[in-house]
Amino acid sequence: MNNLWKLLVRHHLILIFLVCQGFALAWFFSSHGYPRGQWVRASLSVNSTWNGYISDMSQLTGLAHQNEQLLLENAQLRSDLLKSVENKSVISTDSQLRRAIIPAEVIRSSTHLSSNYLIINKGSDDGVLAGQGGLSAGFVIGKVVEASTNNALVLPLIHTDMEWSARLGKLGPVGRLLWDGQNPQLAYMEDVPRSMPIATGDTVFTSGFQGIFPPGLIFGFISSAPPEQDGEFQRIQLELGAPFRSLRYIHIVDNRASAEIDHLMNSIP
Amino acid sequence: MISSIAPYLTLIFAWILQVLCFQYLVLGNGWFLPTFHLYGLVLLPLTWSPLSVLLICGLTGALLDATTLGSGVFTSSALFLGFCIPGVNRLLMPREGYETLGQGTLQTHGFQWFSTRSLLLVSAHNLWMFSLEAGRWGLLLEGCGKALTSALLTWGLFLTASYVTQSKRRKR
Repeated sequence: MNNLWKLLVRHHLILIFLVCQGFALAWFFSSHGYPRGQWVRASLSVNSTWNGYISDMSQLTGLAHQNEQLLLENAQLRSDLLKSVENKSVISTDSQLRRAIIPAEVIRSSTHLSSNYLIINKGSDDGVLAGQGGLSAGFVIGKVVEASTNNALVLPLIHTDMEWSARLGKLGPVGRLLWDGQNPQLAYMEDVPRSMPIATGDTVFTSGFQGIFPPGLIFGFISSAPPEQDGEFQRIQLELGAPFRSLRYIHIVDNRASAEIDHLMNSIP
Repeated sequence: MISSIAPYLTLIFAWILQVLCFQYLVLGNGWFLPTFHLYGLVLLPLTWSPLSVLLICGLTGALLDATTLGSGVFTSSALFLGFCIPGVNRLLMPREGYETLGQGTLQTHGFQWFSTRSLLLVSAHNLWMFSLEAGRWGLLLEGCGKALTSALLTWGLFLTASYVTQSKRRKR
């Protein structure tokens, strides 16, 4: 016993390091890139004012680019409006969307990590809640995972631990959309049957199965034809529609239908 | 009096600068990410016990995690840094021992010693942090590259901060 005690005293630094490291790694792996909980809400509240100042300063340097983006977004909205007038079924879920879109501004974002995030200037007071989806210029960007009263944390498509349910074309097969942690404009769609013909420029839509987004919203476009692959399924590279490096104004989608579906799911005995 | 509180002031000053400024300064698509809060940790007095250094490093990292949504990554890497500091101090110790036992600054220990020590410590910290953040084997190599380029940027900031504080002392 005495020898054991001496051994512990002699190596106390390594032991304390391992214990502390254990706590730190438990903290890291328990959140695993999904920072959640009370401390995140507190941190969002404390940092929101400062992040707002920094955001205002960076806005001054990026006004020209933002202006160009707003013009493009306006053009796209007009185009969608025309399409919806011509054919109501083109954006079949827009009746829900129009009732439940919350505009927000990105005040902090990262694109250089493998677990990226966005912080927006709207929170639970504005109707933003965990589980809602985010759009930029009509393209999917991610989902809200935490909301304080005035801010919310959004995990974007460019997060290596997130998987998204995507559909190739309006009526094509459903697969998983993933990001490999490298180029923030390129993602991959997996589990697409090899028999499925694919062409560059094909659109990848939300399937609506995850309950975050209604079906038919755009993730991005096939950027290159897939190489010959063995096996039943193929992996396809797509260019994401949302410009993650320069995101500024986004919309949060309150997918009310998903709340009803969740309610129904909970009632299953 | 001032020399006894200098390590604490440096620690607080570097931490505040990291939280308020340097965390937003991400250059080259994440290849240059400054970790200036390490300046206060690298300048902890050489006489402090390894246990104190380890605990102060852990606490500094934890506070940074809590304010920047780090989720434990800064705590873990700062603890690793705290664990490395005594070993690096022994490795770089002159044969006759250290002449000054306060902070290991550029002014007291010279450019070569300060640069080698800070580059070694910051690289160790960054390699741990970026490997952990990468989270998968496929991203590990790129993470190591980012760790080293970011260590160079941080070292440049350390030198700048050292020269700025040195010139202020000389003016006095």
